[in-house]
Order: sequence, then C-alpha cells, then structure tokens
Amino acid sequence: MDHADLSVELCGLHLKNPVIAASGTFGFGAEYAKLYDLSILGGISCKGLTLAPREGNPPTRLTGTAYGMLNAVGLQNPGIEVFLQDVLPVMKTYGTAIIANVAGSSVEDYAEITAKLAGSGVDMIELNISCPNVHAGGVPFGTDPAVIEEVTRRARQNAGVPLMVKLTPNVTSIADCAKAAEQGGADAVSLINTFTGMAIDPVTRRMVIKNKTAGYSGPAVKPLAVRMVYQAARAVGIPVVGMGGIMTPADVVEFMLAGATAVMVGTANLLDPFALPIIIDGLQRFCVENGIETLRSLTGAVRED
Amino acid sequence: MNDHTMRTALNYPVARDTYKLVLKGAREFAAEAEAGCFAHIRIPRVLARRPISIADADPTDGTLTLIYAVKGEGTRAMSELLVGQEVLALGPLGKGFPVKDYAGKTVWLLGGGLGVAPLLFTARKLYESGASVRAYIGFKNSHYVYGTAELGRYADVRSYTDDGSFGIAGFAVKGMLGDLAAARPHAVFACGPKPMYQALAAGMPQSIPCYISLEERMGCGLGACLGCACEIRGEDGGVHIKRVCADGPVFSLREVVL
Ligand SMILES: Cc1cc2nc3c(=O)[nH]c(=O)nc-3n(C[C@H](O)[C@H](O)[C@H](O)COP(=O)(O)OP(=O)(O)OC[C@H]3O[C@@H](n4cnc5c(N)ncnc54)[C@H](O)[C@@H]3O)c2cc1C
Ligand SMILES: Cc1cc2nc3c(=O)[nH]c(=O)nc-3n(C[C@H](O)[C@H](O)[C@H](O)COP(=O)(O)O)c2cc1C
Ligand code: FES
Repeated sequence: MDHADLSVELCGLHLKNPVIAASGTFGFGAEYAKLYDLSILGGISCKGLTLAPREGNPPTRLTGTAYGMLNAVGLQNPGIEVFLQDVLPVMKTYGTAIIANVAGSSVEDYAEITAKLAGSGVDMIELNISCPNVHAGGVPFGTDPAVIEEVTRRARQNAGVPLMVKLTPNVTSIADCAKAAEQGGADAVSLINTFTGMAIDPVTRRMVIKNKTAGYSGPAVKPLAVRMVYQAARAVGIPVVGMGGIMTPADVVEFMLAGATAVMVGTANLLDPFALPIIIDGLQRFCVENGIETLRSLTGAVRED
Repeated sequence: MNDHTMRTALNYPVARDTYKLVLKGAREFAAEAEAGCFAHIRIPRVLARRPISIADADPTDGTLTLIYAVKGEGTRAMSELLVGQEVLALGPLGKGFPVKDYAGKTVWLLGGGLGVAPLLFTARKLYESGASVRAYIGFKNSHYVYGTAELGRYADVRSYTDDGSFGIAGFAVKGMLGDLAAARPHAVFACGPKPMYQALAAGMPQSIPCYISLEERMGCGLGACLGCACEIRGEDGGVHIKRVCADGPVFSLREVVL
C-alpha cells in the first residue's frame, strides 16, 4: 500500500481529510491562501461571526507562554452581513468545506444568526457557546446543560445545514454538556474551546492581557482535550470533532483514537503558517507506515485491553 | 514572503543587553525586504514566534541582520543561538516606511533605543534612493549606544543620551523639534517608545508628514488572528482596530491613538 484514504464523513459532508482549520486562528482563509492551496484542507471554520460588526477587545490581546498561547481577541469580526456579501463568496472558491462559526449574547442572537446563514452556501454551522449570556449575568451559555440544550434547539430550527455545537472545557462534566447539545438536536459537537487563563508580568505587576482573563490553547492543553473528547464521544451518538493543542500528525491520530471523527487545528497555525499542509502530508505518511488503509477506521479505535 | 530556514552566522552583543544577529540563507528574503518591515522569528525551544525588525538585509551575500534587546524568554533564547544554528524567519512582513515617496527629498529619522534598529536599514534605503537623511537617535546612556557608525554612512547623525554620557544630553525628539527653526524635512520617519511619539505629535507642525512604527505582541504575523490590535483614528473621527502586523507596523502619526 502506498496511499491511504484520508477522507472522512462528517454529518453527511465528505471531507478530503479530517484536518479543519480552527476558528479564530485562520481568519477567513485569505492570508493563508497566499501561502498554499487551501483545497488540500478538510475544511475551514471561519473567525467567530456575530450579528453586528465587533471591534473586539483593546490591546494587548495575545501572548505566547512557555507551552501555549493566551488570547482575548474579543470576537472582532465584520458582522454576518459583510460575511455573507463579501467574504463567503471568496471562501467558496477555496475548494474546501466552509464552516461558519457563530456567537451571540442571547439565545435569540443564535437563532437569528443561524437563520441568516440558512441557504447561504456554508456547509456547516458551528455554535460557539463559550460567550457570556447577557440575560444570565454574563455566565457563558456553554456552562449550563439546560441552556446548551435550549440554545441548540433554537438554532437547530433555523439552520438548513448540519449544526455543530462547540463546547467549552471550563465545565465540571463535559459529558453532560455534550449530551445536552445532542438532546437539543445538534448534528455534531466540537471541543475544546480555550481554557480560561491569566498572565501577570512580574516586573511591571500588570496583567499581560488587557482583558485580564484570556483563552488558553496550544500544546499544553492537549492531554486535557484528549480526555474530554474521549468522555464526550462515549456520552453521545453524534460525531465529535476534536481539538486542543494539535501540532503533529500523531496528535491527529490520538484525537481520532479517543473518538474524534475529524479534528481542528488552531494555535499551530500561529506558530507555523504551514502547520496544516505539514500535518496533512504527515498523516498520509503515518497511515502508509502503519498499514492503515482508511484513516476514518481509527475513530474511537483506542485499545483498552 | 515565505517561511525561510536561515543559519546563524554571527550573534554577539553590540551594547548593554543588546545583540546583533546575522542570519545566512536570506537571499530571497533580502531581495524583498523593505525599510520598516519585520521578520517573525521561530527560535529553537521557544513556542511562539517573536517579531523583530529588519536592521539590514543584503541580497548579494544573502544575509539578514537583526538587532534585539534581551527582554524575556524569547529574546534570551535568541541571544543563546550559536553559529550554525537554524532559525525560521517568516517574512518580510508588514507595511514599512514610504521610502519611495521621498526619493531625492529630505527625510529626518527619529529613533529611540531599540527603535534605532529598523532605522539603520531605512537610512540605507533612503540614501540609495537619493534622499538626504538626517538621524536623531537617543539612548538611555552610553552603555546602550549602537549603530552610530552604520547610520553615519547614510545619514547625518545626531546622538543623544538621557544623561549626556554620549552625544548631547537630553531627548532626541527635543533636539529634532528645536532644529525646526533652522531647517525643515519633507517627512519624519520614527521608531521608538510611546512618549517619544507623543512629544513628536505635540511639537511637529501638521504640515510635515510623520510616520511611526508600532509594536504589539503578535500571533500569526500574517493578519489572520487579530492578536496584534492597535487603535487608529479613521477619517470619520471614529477609533478603529487595525492589525500592527498587516496594516502596519508603520502608520501615519496623526491617525494613531497614542
Ligand atoms: C513589528 C515589530 C518589530 C520589532 N522589532 C524589534 C527589534 O528590531 N528589536 C527588538 O529588540 N525588539 C523588537 N520588537 C519587540 C520584540 O518583538 C519583543 O521585545 C520580543 O517579542 C520580546 O520577547 P521576549 O520573549 O524576550 O519577552 P517577553 O517575555 O514576551 O516579554 C518581556 C517584555 O517585552 C515586552 N514585549 C513582549 N512582546 C513584545 C512585542 N511584540 N513588542 C513590544 N514589546 C514586547 C513585554 O511588554 C514585556 O515587558 C519588535 C516588535 C514588533 C511588533
Ligand atoms: C487567537 C485565537 C482566536 C480564537 N477565536 C475563536 C473564535 O472566534 N471562535 C471560536 O469558537 N474559537 C476560537 N478560538 C479557539 C480555537 O478555535 C480552538 O478551539 C482552541 O484554540 C483550541 O485549539 P488549539 O489548541 O489547536 O488552538 C480561538 C483561538 C485562538 C488561539
Ligand atoms: S499577529 Fe495575527 S493578525 Fe497580527
């Protein structure tokens, strides 16, 4: 065997391979399209979209740490209308699956933004429910299973395409959250979003990130993410898309063995702009070297003997 | 623009806490490099890249020169790079100083501390385009002074230190503003700390265009992650977020919210 089949099926979508660019680290693809052909990707999850344009948080927004990255970009985006009119037509030319990542500050926001995306040509919608719920004192939607179920149900009614709910890891039971999304009608769950972190400069004694708290991602979180993907995959019958600290082809295999149907790669793009093509090439090599004919056969295939 | 594997040719201190790193294998990078642009450097054993300005770039011998201060983990690891060791340099990145607009004209450079580094390359590019260049550069004290000889090849240099231990005592920006009575440049290109830009904004007549280089912590360096935000005043008077890496690092002084 000199060539493995890397393709996967996700909610009826055929992906060339399981590697999807994670939301917020890839913009809308334009910057990376200058570096390589994006049609090699399994898909792209775009920067989080909101109904109205958002300027995001004041600087400083981001910093590297010893083993990961902290960010508080604050959902800066041009808004759903500009996305539909100017951005999506360009993304459709990239020859890969386009996932619209959306966020809101009320259940109604999610229902409205998914309605706007229905029939737009996006292949899938991903609900980012890590944002604060203004009607619940700023508590993130994604930390309460009852709210997860409600927000999913309201969005599901409007979405004409497969709906994926992106879970936050800042919870006690990821399994309960995954189940709530499934109950609400989600076609898939993706996880993990970032862990809430903080950094303080010991010399200036100031917060490094202006927003004080920031999302922690990158290689440091990988073992936590693998555990959560494993727990979520055992709890639900819908596909799980795994992410958190993926840097290498072996990391992709690890997430698939834990139960992921596909994966997303985020922070690695910021460390190496060619991370995705390198990982996809390496996956092909990994399969050939290990006699794996179809990569999708690895989903959930962890041995527990 | 690409991610180039380069090899350390030289890496040595040029002033207190300040190093010069000369990288080989930079022919393609150097051919594209423009004044005020930067390289996003991946240092061995350091996770996130660090943005460093181009202090010189020579397509004929394929070298890229960076001058950097040891501040934290990243630049400390950079200072430990040994001759022959590889680094990845993504770039050249960003929108630099508008050198071409001032060919044959008079440009004054204003640099403070590490901000003098990109001005070395900028002075050379201006000189090569036939501009007449004067440079006002300031350092904390004589221990931190570097680059005066390189700069002297392309510019009429006026050095300042806060305590007068080298050159004139005081701030370079004060010196520049004081000289306006006798002569005027067509433009000012500046790189340095925020207070220097504030003094420049307060003292420089509106009729003289000023361009300044901003710094912010970066992620991708490409314009995708929106990590390197800065606040820019639009023509509508409103404040908008721009990306230091892709929309800058050089902006017009009057549009920056300082
Ligand atoms: C476009 C651009 C060009 C630059 N050119 C040069 C240059 O030519 N020479 C040079 O010495 N430095 C330059 N810098 C600054 C340099 O990137 C930082 O000093 C470096 O990233 C610090 O990394 P560290 O790991 O050593 O410090 P850290 O441990 O990350 O931080 C130490 C201190 O450095 C400051 N710092 C961290 N990152 C940045 C940053 N991106 N910009 C400014 N301050 C920062 C922090 O406030 C902190 O107090 C440039 C920055 C930008 C954005
Ligand atoms: C700079 C940055 C911006 C992000 N923006 C978003 C976003 O807009 N929406 C979202 O759902 N996740 C966002 N994320 C989270 C990532 O998509 C991903 O879930 C997380 O970073 C974990 O994966 P990683 O370790 O591979 O980065 C962002 C992450 C980073 C680093
Ligand atoms: S560093 Fe990513 S947008 Fe500037």
